Amino acid sequence: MIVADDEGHCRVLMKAVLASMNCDVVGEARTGDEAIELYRKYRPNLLLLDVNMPVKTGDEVLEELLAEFPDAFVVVLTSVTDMESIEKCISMGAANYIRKDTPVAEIKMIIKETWKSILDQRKKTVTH
Amino acid sequence: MNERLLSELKNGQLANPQVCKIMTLLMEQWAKEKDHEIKQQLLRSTVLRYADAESKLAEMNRTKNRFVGLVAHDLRNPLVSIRGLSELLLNDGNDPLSAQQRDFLTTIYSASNSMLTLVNDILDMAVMESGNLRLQVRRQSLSRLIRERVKVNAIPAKEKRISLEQHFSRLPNLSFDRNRISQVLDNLIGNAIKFSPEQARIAVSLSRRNGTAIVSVHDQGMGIAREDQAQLFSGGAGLRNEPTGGEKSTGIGLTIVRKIIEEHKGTLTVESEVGIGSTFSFTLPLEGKRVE
Repeated sequence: MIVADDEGHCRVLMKAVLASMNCDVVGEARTGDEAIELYRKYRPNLLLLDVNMPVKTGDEVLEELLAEFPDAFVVVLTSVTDMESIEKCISMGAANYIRKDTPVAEIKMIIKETWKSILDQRKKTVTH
Repeated sequence: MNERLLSELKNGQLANPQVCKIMTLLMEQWAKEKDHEIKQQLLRSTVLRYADAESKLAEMNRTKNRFVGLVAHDLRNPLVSIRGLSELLLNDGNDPLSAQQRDFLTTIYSASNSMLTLVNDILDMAVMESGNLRLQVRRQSLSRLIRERVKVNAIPAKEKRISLEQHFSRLPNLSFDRNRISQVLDNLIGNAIKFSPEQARIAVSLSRRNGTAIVSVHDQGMGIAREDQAQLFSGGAGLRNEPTGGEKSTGIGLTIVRKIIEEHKGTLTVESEVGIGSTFSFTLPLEGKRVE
């Protein structure tokens, strides 16, 4: 997993949430560019991507990543104030979004359910 | 005639009654012109003052928006991390905490959670009062959203051994802002949990009546006195009810809920009886024929 957020405490929180779900965090990015670079290097199962980041914004990262890796599993992190960007990210191909003020138990639930639905979709695609 | 009178005036023939008459006429004319001039000056000065006040108001509004933005980013996000990390430590089964550590962490979690709720409520009120509440409306399943929010709220309900029931009528998809209606459901279900005793039952139902979808949250809490019900949707100052499990309540959540529902062209109502329980219901207009 990779966590991309320009705020250190948000990265600490998201890494801790993923660790509590027994997920390995292989990298953390502070800018959009770093997120793309780390993704190319590690090809993680999941990228938790903040929408509002310096150098490249979340939607710019998403566009570039999905063009290169159409199967990328990206969950977008957002503040309430960024909610308008979310519809754009979802329509571009983000698997889901998580509002940053969501309680931890619900964050875990969203990640688990989104991951499960992605796996189900992929299984269906392989079967057909 | 007037020229003759003026000439008499110039020649110092002031005793002439006609001169007195024209003097009076001239004075009246002068007074009218002066009065008009003063009124014009007052009007110009009022317009200038108004423009100045408008400019100051716009500047104050910009300052407020900058402040709200600062609060949104620089205060809320760290609070989210403090709450989240304390929650993770409290639930970390691999590394048992001492009783004191658990007590301190519970206080950190509870205080940061209350502050976060308050900050979110203040930001929402600011957005709504500035008229900037922009709904992102899409046709979708309301029952699916209710199931999701009931599932999420089952986590805090479990701590008080409260059971959450769901009853759904078959309804077509309808148009609403998913995030805002989630906020409404979380608030109503959350309040029902906060104000219910342990092991109580809460029922969330979805039905239809007269072209509207009706969502009701019924609890077996302490109920709200009739004289307090009017204050519920206007800030809740002076309400006597307190959460049963030491939870916090800002009192402005229901004001926000009502504004969200009104923006959706719906209504929010409450029926309550002290010692029996409360039912909060909101409506959303039904449209179209697509069935879920």
